[in-house]
Amino acid sequence: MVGRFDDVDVSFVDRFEELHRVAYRAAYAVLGNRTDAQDCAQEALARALVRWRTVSEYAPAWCARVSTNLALDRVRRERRQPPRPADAGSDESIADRRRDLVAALKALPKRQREAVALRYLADLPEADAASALGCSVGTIKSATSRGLERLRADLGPAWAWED
Amino acid sequence: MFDDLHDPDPPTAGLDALARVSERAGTIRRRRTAMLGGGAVAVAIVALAIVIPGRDADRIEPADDTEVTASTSAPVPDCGRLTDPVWLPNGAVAGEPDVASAIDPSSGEFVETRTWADAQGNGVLAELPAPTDVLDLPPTGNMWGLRVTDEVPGVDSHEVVIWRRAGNCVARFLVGGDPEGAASWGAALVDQLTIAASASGPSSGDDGWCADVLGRRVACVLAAAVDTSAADGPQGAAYQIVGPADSGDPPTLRGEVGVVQLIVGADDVVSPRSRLSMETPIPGTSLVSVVDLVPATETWCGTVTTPDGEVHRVGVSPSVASDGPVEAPAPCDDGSTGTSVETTAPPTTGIVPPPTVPPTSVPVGSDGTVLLLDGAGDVRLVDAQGMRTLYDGFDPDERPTEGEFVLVDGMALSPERGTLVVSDCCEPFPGDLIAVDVATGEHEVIGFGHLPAFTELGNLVWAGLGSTDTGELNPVVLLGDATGAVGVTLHEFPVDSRIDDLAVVPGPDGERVVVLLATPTETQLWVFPAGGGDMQLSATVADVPWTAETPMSLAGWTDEAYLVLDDANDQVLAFDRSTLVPIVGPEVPNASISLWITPTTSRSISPDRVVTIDGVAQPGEFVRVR
Repeated sequence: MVGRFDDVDVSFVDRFEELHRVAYRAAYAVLGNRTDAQDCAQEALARALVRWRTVSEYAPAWCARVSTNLALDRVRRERRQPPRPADAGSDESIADRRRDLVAALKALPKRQREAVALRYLADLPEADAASALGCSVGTIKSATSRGLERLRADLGPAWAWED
Repeated sequence: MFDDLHDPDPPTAGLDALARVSERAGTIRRRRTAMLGGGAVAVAIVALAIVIPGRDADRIEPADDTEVTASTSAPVPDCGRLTDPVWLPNGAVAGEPDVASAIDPSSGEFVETRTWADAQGNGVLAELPAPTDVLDLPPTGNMWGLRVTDEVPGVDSHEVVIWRRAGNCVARFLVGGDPEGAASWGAALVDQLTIAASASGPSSGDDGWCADVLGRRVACVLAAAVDTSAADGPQGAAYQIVGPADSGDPPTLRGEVGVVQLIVGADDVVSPRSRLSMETPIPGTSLVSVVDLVPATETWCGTVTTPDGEVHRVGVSPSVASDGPVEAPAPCDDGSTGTSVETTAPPTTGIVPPPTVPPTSVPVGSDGTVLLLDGAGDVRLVDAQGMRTLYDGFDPDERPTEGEFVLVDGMALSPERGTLVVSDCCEPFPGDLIAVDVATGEHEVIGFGHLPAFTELGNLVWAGLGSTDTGELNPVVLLGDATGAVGVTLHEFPVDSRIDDLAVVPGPDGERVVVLLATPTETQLWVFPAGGGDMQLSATVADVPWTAETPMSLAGWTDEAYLVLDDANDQVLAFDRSTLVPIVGPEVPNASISLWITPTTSRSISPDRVVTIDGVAQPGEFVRVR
């Protein structure tokens, strides 16, 4: 790796796999397609690398948030196009759940949507999500709570809640 | 929760993925660099005329033939690209660098390094042997790599500023300006950030290369000895001094595009002067340089009153200096030309006549015009003639995975409704200002910046990048004329901040520039006079940092409050105009992605991109309204 990535900050290289994992996880939850999720994750990481000195302190949450938003943007852009197929072998009911969730997420206020995405799509701790969004843990808690409450209202009790 | 939505067998990111990310990051960086370089349009001087009152009342000279550009209709005067190598004295042989040859331990290659030093012989700057390769920049003859050598410990590269003055042109080169790029190599990027007439640049007479290191001026290499106290300054001097007023000779007036600059005695009184005027002593003389903004008018007339009470009426007309030396005197509105001596009191306030606004019917919006950015990224104007597309922007929904991609992020209509100025932007660096002729749809790039807004008098305020004082990439608010020529920096913000929105708001005590500023930890509201001055207000709006994907935006104003749209939380915040204390705002739509409210209009765009103007939904898909 040395030589090929001489211009890449060493700390970024060290954390690359971790960041990719988080960013990919969040994007895949929205998209259900590996290729697209990898595209979003890599775009998010590239943006992080460009501003690494700024975001390195809360890079996982930052990458997850950007990746989630890229994924949601991609869904919105493709709304007039035939839906991209989910990966082979994926459950059709899961695809339906994902579609419903994405629609409900998009209807949330931005702060609530990002809080929910960081906490439950990227599985990040509250403190990390708070750092990425530049707010307190309490704000994350309340935004997440309100977001989930609204998701439940939008998706209805028939939606397969797992918690 | 949502476990079944996750990939049960996620891929592992390997070196190929890292290579793609690195390549993509390089593309982003290069694009930013290109924007900085390409946007660094030379806002140089069109030396219009020197009108010499008094004894030489009819004498008009160009300030310097070499700086006269072809046409004042071109908004970007040409100082040329100042691309000479940086020459600093090394203490032994002025203008010659120390040359050292060595084997680069990192590459194993033979390299030659040239080093410049300050006047005491201390090494200060070293040229990188292959800057475009080292810095991964597009090959260009306008860039050099520089690094601060060990002889100046503790000096970060961004603390070095290179100046070049050539006649009336001043080029400021930023060293290490890209905080995310060049600095990470431990080196520095030199690029032409701005070329502007500047009273805050090298002192007059420094005709050549100069450098500031840590704010300390390194001795300059002058292109020619300049004696500013001479009765007739040599060509190429920063200012051509015809004669100081306090010695009985008349003051000198030189008009420039967007700027009136007078060289007068320190005790002379210049009128009218706007609140933006600046006064700078000229070293070694009893003269001062008065620089004042001339807005979008063709003629400036005023007076210079000497201590003995003699009033010189002077005038300059930028439009007459179309090519080469000016032969015709500048007309004043009373028909006088050039200069004359009189005793009538000059106007004391304002330097721009109010624009004539033609009457028009009001199809939508009670002020007669609406600016919309539609879902395809195009700018539309709605006025008495209906809705028309005036600028074809990128479709935000068709974002390419690679390559150029800029979005319209600002739009403003001139008071007389003849010019639309739009800006494109790709965060965090501002892009181009583009003027669109409303009548013909023709457009041209007029400057470098974003978030344009017009004042009532037809001046342009916009957000830019680059401190005139420090040389760093501070966000700044600039005031200039409608051609994009920079007049003055109205306000300069810390380097770790970003201007997210900007508006000019009228008021009983003058217009205010309202700025929404994002910082690493919060979003702030700043207010200061559009006409310049010390007054300013600032307050924290919310704990929304600059990393927020959806920044907050301005939402207009009422008689009592400035309004801010918090899209993330679907709320509109109101701040008292006098104190910026949060107050209860007007009733507004709960959910909007763009909102613009004034005492006479209300416009909003819902999350599903429907625009509502004064309560009436309009057909189409839109993302921003003003």
